[in-house]
Amino acid sequence: MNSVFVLLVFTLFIGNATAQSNQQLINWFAGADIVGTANSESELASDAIVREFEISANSNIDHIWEGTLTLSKHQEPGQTEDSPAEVHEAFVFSNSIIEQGHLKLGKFFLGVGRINRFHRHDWAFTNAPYYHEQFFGTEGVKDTGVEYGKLLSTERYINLTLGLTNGREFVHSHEHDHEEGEEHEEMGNPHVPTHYARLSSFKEFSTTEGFEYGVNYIGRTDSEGTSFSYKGLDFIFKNRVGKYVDTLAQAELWQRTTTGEGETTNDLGAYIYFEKGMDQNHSYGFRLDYYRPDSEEHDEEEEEHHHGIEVDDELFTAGFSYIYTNSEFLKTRFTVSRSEGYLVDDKEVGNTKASLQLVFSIGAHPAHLY
Amino acid sequence: MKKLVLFLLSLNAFASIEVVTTLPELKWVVDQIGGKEVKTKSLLNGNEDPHFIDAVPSFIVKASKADLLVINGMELETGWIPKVIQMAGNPKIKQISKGYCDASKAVEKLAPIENYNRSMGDVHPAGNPHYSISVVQMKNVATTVFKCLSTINPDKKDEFKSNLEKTLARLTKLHKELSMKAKSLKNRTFMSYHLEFAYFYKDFNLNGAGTLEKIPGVLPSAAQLLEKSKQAKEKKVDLVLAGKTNPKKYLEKFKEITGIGFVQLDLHMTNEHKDYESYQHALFDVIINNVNTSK
Repeated sequence: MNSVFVLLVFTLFIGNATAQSNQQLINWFAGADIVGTANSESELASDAIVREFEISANSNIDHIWEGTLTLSKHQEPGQTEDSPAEVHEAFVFSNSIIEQGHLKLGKFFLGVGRINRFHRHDWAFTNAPYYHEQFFGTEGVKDTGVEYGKLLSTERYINLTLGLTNGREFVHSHEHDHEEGEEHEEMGNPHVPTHYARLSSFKEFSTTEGFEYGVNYIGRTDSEGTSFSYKGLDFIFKNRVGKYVDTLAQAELWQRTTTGEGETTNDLGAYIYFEKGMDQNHSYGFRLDYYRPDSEEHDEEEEEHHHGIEVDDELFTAGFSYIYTNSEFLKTRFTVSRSEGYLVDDKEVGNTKASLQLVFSIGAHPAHLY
Repeated sequence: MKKLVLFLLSLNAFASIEVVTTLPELKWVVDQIGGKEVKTKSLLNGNEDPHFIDAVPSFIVKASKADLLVINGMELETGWIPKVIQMAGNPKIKQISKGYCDASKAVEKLAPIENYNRSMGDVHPAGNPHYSISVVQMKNVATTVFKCLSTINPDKKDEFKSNLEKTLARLTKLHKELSMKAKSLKNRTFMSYHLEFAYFYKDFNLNGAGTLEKIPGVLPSAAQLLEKSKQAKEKKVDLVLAGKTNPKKYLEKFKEITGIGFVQLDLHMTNEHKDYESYQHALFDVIINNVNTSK
């Protein structure tokens, strides 16, 4: 049924896109992310799948508001059942109500961290770091609510983002062990809805070279009274030369504090990624990930939820990527990574993973944030 | 109270229009027309490829405080300026506002494309957007900027008009001076890496023999370079013109195949140029020097 729905929407999209785009009424965009993965550890799934298919429409609604609607269909490696197409984003945005600020209402990815603010097909790498999958899901946290962004009146760029969402949906995953339509950590009404903040600034070295950094906080208490707070830092340095990014350095560091039933645990995760562009076609990337779970019971549950494999005291991953950029709209990324610190049958094991990703888009992709 | 009102009025009288432009040569035009009534900042410094810029947060800060935003238009900045405008949250410079000024409005556009798709490469349906290298088109830009500034501050329209006339006279004089220089290039044939010199050729009736890129924005393959080298030899190309952000490796390879020299030029004003005249003269001098020594 869902497939029929997607097909129907896509047909409508094809039929109307040209005429409407010519009138500049609606910007249509469609993208796909195809990933083949092979793991040396048999407990981890090896697969070749269309991981994501997304269509999106964006337009001014009136003189105050613009709207974005995104329909998406996902599959993760090892997932055998067809997952439903879902409303990925449905929000209105206005920069006309608050001077030097914006307001977003509806369903959207929370404006925190680095990769959580971007769609997966726009990421600099194929897969999220392990800690991100544990904390925020395979893509990121999306929810329904309101987000307010304010550019502070200073000479230096300082931007404050505040958000409040209903908190019923937190970890965004598409795993096979969930019922259709269920993609939440839990479905009950939270005691405290999701609330978050990001304060970011930017240091310009030249018009093509700069460093952005942010401080983040997310809080939420679920329906069982367990409270979660996430504190994070994100950094990005970019140097662009003509059509390509010559140097990219990106990092995030997050701590999750879980308090429930008289116990408090702190889980830690981080990654750092470097990418060097050789020209507009070729670039190389290197990423180091770290994850240190504090709460074994909690993590076992989540790790099973995400991978069917547990993590011992610490998980280290190092990965190398080669990226071939055919054009702005088509990329191929080959990544080999080695992880140490998984636990299988009470024995610590490592895993070597190779993945090949093809990501492409058609239509009018909106301009990107820095 | 009366003194306070007079003081506030006097403050208003000295308040200048905060203008942000995308390109440095647009800043130059705004400064000429606006005179002391404007405070202008250019987002780019002229050393970048304006097609491929990120919506840098510092641009957002500048745009958030602007009364007027002047862009090149014709989709040159389409990859980043919409995001700068969106995140600046400045109602004065939204596309529907009087503080949004598309400098290409009166430009005589070359090569507009009616039906296009992405297989055609990085093309601009509105036409070739690289008009700011053209002295002739900069006159049209000056007229558009005059209209934009007059809309923002109608009280100063006469002053802007007077400045416009002076600027047009300067550009006319510049065109005459450059036309004299261009006489030495009349029997020469040029190729360019990208489409950035089309308006330049037109201004001075110079011979352009196409581009090294077969598809705009796409690096030429070895086979395409060979094909282009045959064309260059047939058309007796003297010099390949390129921007400083164009890939040097391909220009060197082309030179290796054909023996035809190349020169990488400032496609926009930079900090090294005190005005548009010095920029244009420098551009011509470099081309003339190189065309004489290219083979």
